[in-house]
Order: sequence, then structure tokens, then C-alpha cells
Amino acid sequence: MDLKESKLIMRAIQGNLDAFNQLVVIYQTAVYNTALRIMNDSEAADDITQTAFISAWQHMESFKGDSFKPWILRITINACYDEIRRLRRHPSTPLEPVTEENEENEDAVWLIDPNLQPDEVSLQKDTMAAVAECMGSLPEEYRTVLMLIDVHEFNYQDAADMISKPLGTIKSRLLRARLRMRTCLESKGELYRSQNRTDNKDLS
Amino acid sequence: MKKNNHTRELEWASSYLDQALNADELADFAQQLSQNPEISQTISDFAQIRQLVRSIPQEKPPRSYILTRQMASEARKPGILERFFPAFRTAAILCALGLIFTFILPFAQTHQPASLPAEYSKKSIDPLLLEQSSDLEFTKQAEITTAVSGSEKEPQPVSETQADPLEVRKPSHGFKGGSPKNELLMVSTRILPDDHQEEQSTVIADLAAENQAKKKSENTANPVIPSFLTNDVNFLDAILQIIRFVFIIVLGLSFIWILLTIYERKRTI
Repeated sequence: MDLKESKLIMRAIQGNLDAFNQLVVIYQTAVYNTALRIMNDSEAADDITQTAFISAWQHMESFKGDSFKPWILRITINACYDEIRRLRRHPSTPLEPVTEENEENEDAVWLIDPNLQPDEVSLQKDTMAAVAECMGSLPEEYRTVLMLIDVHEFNYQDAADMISKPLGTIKSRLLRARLRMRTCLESKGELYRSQNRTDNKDLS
Repeated sequence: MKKNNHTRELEWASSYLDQALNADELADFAQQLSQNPEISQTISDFAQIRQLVRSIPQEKPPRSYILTRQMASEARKPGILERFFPAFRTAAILCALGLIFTFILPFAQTHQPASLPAEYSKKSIDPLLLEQSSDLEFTKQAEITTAVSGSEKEPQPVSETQADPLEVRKPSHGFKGGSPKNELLMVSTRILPDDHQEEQSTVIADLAAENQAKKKSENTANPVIPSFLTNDVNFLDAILQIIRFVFIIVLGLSFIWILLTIYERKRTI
């Protein structure tokens, strides 16, 4: 944690809204994407992101850690779980991304980098769609661990603290998530077709 | 068993990728890796999956989530639990201290200070009176001696009933092993108020009056503990019990409130 962030946190704890809003600007992308990956729904992710920041502001005085990111992501994950539980109790909208015709959206256009060439776009579109679909098919507890460790690059202990689970649970959930991803991507032909796979073959 | 070993190898492969193996596990895993080429394939697959997941581009949020002043003030509006939390916290501290004080207070009252004058003690004998009575005995002995040796009067036979009143009034009662002064202590209560001899009665009465005057003057300087306090000890105890009861009730309520607030905080974070 750099000095600037620690100062912002201290000022935010003292009730300085401007300092807190600077933290929001720094972490809103990470928070939104976390919510998006867990929920697979941009609208829900939008609501959850706002809720998470409001909740963080409400409980800023109880912040005891030394880094803001794990704390705000923990709040976000809890908000996602609350929303998932609410949806399960009152199923009104599907968890998977849907088109206007209420069909499952397999294109996952929201994942595509807009700066790529058309052929690259096509290739990445297929790969990203497959990855997104495979991630979406995972149970949310596996997806959360995969995202925390593989996307946000937290270590096992941090991930365990963030979702309040033992270290062994994190290890086993991560293993199962990776195994399921491997099966899913193999079935879609993405695991062996990509350039990364060739690199990995060369390495091995 | 074989299945368990396979799961453990997979878990180690996953942890190895994230550099989460300890030294012992790493040594065991290296051995397994050299024997089983499938493990390196698994590591390769996991590495690829991680790279693919990591390569998913970050979606730009549809809007900014900066909080406005209004949103911030509404969000910080405390609930009823939070609003009364400081009051209950303070009450809990004060009640705990008060409760401790009410348990200490009775001990402080029953302890008699060392400086309390001897005459306030119930069973004490006035040392001054004791000393004077010793002097009186000595004077009496001298008078008797004088009367026996050089009296103008003829010595009268002494009957049992006319025996020296001091001797009659002051039998030894078998007090053994003590000093004469201690013996006098044993019989002093009988000597002083019941003296039938006129001379002695007068002298003792004078001495008693003198002592009483002395005591009175001393008591004015050091007033005795008011009697109503000693008589109303039960009343004070009852008051103390009520205060303790109130403290315990408030303390209990405060603890419940504090626990509920902490639970609510943990639930929302």
C-alpha cells in the first residue's frame, strides 16, 4: 500500500468524503468487474458496486486493515452472495446474461477488447466467449475463488480471509474450479487451440 | 487411497502454480513430478487456464460510483443501534465501576481505624481510672498499717462480718499466673461502683466524676460515631442492595445492546 492510499484511507475514516471518493475512483473498476464476474449480469453488477461503496462509506470507521482493496472486494463479494440468495428465494431474472429476446447471450461482447483488429477480434471473441461461458457455468463459490486468485492475484490466505473460509477450502475450491474450467474449455476446443497452449507445450 | 493420492497431486500442482507449497510439500512434489509426467501436463493446463482467465479484459464501469454529499449523509445516518451505542457503552463502564465500588464500600465501613480512642471500644477499661484505683489501694494499705501500729483506739476484734470490706470485695477467685495488675483488672468492675465504704465511695465518686468530665471534653474534640448510623445499618444495606440491582440491570441491558450493535456491524460488512 502506498503512502497516498494510506493517507486517503485515514482521511476517509475521519469522515472526509473527497478522500473516500478518490478511493472509489481507484477501485471502482475492480469492484464492478468482480461483481460482474460473480453475477454475470451488468445491471446487477452496477447496483452491487454502488451498494458496496455506500456500505464501505457507512462502515469506514470500522476499517482496521492496511489495504483497501481486499476490504472493498470482501464487501462486494458479500453483497453478491446476498443478491444471489435473494434471487434464489425470489427468482425473477436469470443469472446468465440474456439477450433482448430473453435468450442466453453466448457472444459475451462485453468482454471484448475494442482495440483489436477484426480477425483478432473474431479469435478473441470466440476465446473470451468460451472462457466467460465456462466461468459462468461454475458455481459461484468456485467462481469467486478463481477470480480472487487468478484475476486479482491475491494469495490463498488473503482469499481465505476475504471470504471467511479456511485455507484448505480455498485450495480445494480453486482446484475444482480449475478442473471444471479445463473440462469445459477442452469441450469447446479452446484449451488446445490457443497460442498459449502451444507455448505451454513447448515449455513442457 | 490411489484416488486420494491423485487428488493430492492435483492440489499440489495447483498450489505449485501459485507458489503456495511449503518446503516439505515442494520436496515431495518434485519427486512426484519426476515420476509422473501427467502432473506436468496438469500444471501446464492450469497455467493456461489462469492466463486465459486473467486475459479477460476489465470491463469499464457504466458510470462513476462517486458518492454525492446527500448520498453520503444518508448512508452515514446511524440506525437506532448505532445511535445509542455510545450511551450504552458509557453506561456499561460506569455501572461496572459502580458495582465494584458497592462491593468495596461495606468493607471500608466495617474496618475500624487504628486511631479510634480506646473508650469507644465496648470492652475497654479506662486506663486512667485503673491507675487511680491502684493508687487508692496503696493509700488504703498505708492507712491500715498506720491504724495497726499507732492508733489511739484499742484494737477491736474483727468478726467475719466486719472484715475489711476491701478484702471481702476483692477475693482472688483463683486467678493464677498473672500480675497483681491483671488481677485488679479482673475485679475492677466490682470495686469501683459498689464501694460501700463512705470515704472510698466519696473518693471514687470524685474520681469517676473527674474522669467523666475528662471523657466529655475528649468526646467533644473527637465525637463518637452517631448512634443512628449504627442502628440503621440494615437500612443502608438495603439501599446498597437496590443500587447493586439497578447497576446489574443496566449493565445487562448495555451488554445486550453492545452485542447486538457489534453483530449488526459484522453482518453488514
